[in-house]
Amino acid sequence: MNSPLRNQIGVLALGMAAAALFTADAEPGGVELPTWDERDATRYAEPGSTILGRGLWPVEVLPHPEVLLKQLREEREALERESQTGGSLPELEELEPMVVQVPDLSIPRQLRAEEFNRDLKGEVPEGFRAAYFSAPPAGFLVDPQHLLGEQKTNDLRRFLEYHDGESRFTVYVLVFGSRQRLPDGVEMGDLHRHWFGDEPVVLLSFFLGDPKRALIEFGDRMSAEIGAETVAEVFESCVAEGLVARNAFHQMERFCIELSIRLYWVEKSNFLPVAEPGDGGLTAATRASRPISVGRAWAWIGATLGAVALLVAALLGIRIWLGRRGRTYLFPEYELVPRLSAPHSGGAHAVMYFGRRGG
Amino acid sequence: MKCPRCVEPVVLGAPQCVRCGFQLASLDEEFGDDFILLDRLTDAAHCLRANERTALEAVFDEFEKEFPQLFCAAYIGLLPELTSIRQFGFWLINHAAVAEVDISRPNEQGVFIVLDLQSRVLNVTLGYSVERFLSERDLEKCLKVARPHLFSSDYQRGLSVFMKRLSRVLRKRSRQAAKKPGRFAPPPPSPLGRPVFRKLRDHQEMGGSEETAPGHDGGPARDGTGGEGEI
Repeated sequence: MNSPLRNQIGVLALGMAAAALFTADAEPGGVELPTWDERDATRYAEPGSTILGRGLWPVEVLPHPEVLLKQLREEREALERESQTGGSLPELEELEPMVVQVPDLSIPRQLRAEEFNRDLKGEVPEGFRAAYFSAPPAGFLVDPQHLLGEQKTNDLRRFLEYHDGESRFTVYVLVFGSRQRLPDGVEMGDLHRHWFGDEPVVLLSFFLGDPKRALIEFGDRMSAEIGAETVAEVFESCVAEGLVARNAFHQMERFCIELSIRLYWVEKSNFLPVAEPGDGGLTAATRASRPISVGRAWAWIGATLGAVALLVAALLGIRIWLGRRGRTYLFPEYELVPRLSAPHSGGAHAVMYFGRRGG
Repeated sequence: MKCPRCVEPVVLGAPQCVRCGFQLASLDEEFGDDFILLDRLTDAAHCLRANERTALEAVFDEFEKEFPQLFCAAYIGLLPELTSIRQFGFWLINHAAVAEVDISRPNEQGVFIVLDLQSRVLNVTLGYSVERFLSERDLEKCLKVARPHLFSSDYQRGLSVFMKRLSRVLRKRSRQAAKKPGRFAPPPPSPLGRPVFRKLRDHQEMGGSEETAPGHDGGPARDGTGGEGEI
């Protein structure tokens, strides 16, 4: 018998012996039950001294309702005596259980569009102008008025950071109140030109609760490359997406997501990263009058011509290949002049050694 | 064209090499004077697997289909020591009757390949009709592409590559010949060929200095060690 099996049998035998021993002890007298000491029995026998679990919890931990009511009565009488006003406090019997009002999380009241329409009017306050317009944005989201809550700000900032990592377009968002307007003399085009030049940066001014008033600035260079039509399409698409939501923050969120998607497709189809000298300085009117950029048109023509040339070359190659595939080659026959007294070959030959050199 | 024995240029129409006196009959003693029946692909060394043999046969078929006037035959074997592969190839193309080739394609229109695994030498001998369209340089280029495969003992691959390159060259020559047939026409027989040959022979019979061509009686040692037509 092997050793492990012997060990198992030994353990089993020991266990059976121990069980038999305990059974023998318990059988004659039975199990001795615990008993209350006198002090505990007196303490927990008082009515109202315990609550919950039929006396398991002492009154110090959680007072009995009757005890609590008594305390409240005493406190109320003390307050009445101090204030000497009397009669204004409700009767304790009139107290109703508190009903927790669950807020409508989908539409935070403080962010509703009408709220902003009512509260934020006129130009951007003097104190915030420097934070908005004095220097290029330090982050992707500029909200010095704290119009968005902290959580919403973080959410949006994270999204813009993600977009920046995925796209060659960087998006900066300036958040304003719904009825606020830009100060006189401040133009988003000028800001973009001054801050970013020809870099692929999109500067978005979003007026909370009013997506239609949003301003998207691509910059002169990128506007020229993309084309006015595409810019308009991007804007309309973003506005339409923003208007789907009722909540101001959700409007902004949808607007930004749609902008990010649109920029991805713009990048895929139109983006030309190399800036050409002398192409900058186009005005907004010029941009609007140019339906399609010259560079893009030439690129399209070049690509089309290239594709056609490739197709023609491929067809020509196939034609030649098919023509030669089953073709036979003939040679002219000449009068043979034998040599070396050989009837078929005069020994025209070539020899090649293919072994190892020197081997 | 060079003499298979002394590798000296052969005068067109000369019945013997003017230098060493070599002619086809000189080989009868060594290889025999009878015609022999040969398969188009003779693997006397048994170095080809069945699938390799099939693939090589297909290459030969394709060659004959593409060039209806020509054919190709290959002999793979272990030649006895001190056998000149040049002379053997020359003798073979003039004595072999290739079984699979119809009578409309005589050996003048053949390309005979001899692969000697003993000395690891490949020899290609051309019939009279083919030599008009393939220069030694063409053959050398074709052989060079086969060398890496033959060196690694992939004989089927080596011969297939050689045949494909040969076909490419022949296609080009065929197109050139169609445009300018006179380009490949043989020159008229040299009027000096026969008299010069006779003069030389007479000189030798009269007891002049008997020239012994390099490689005579045993040939130029082994093939592949000299001669302009070698690689």
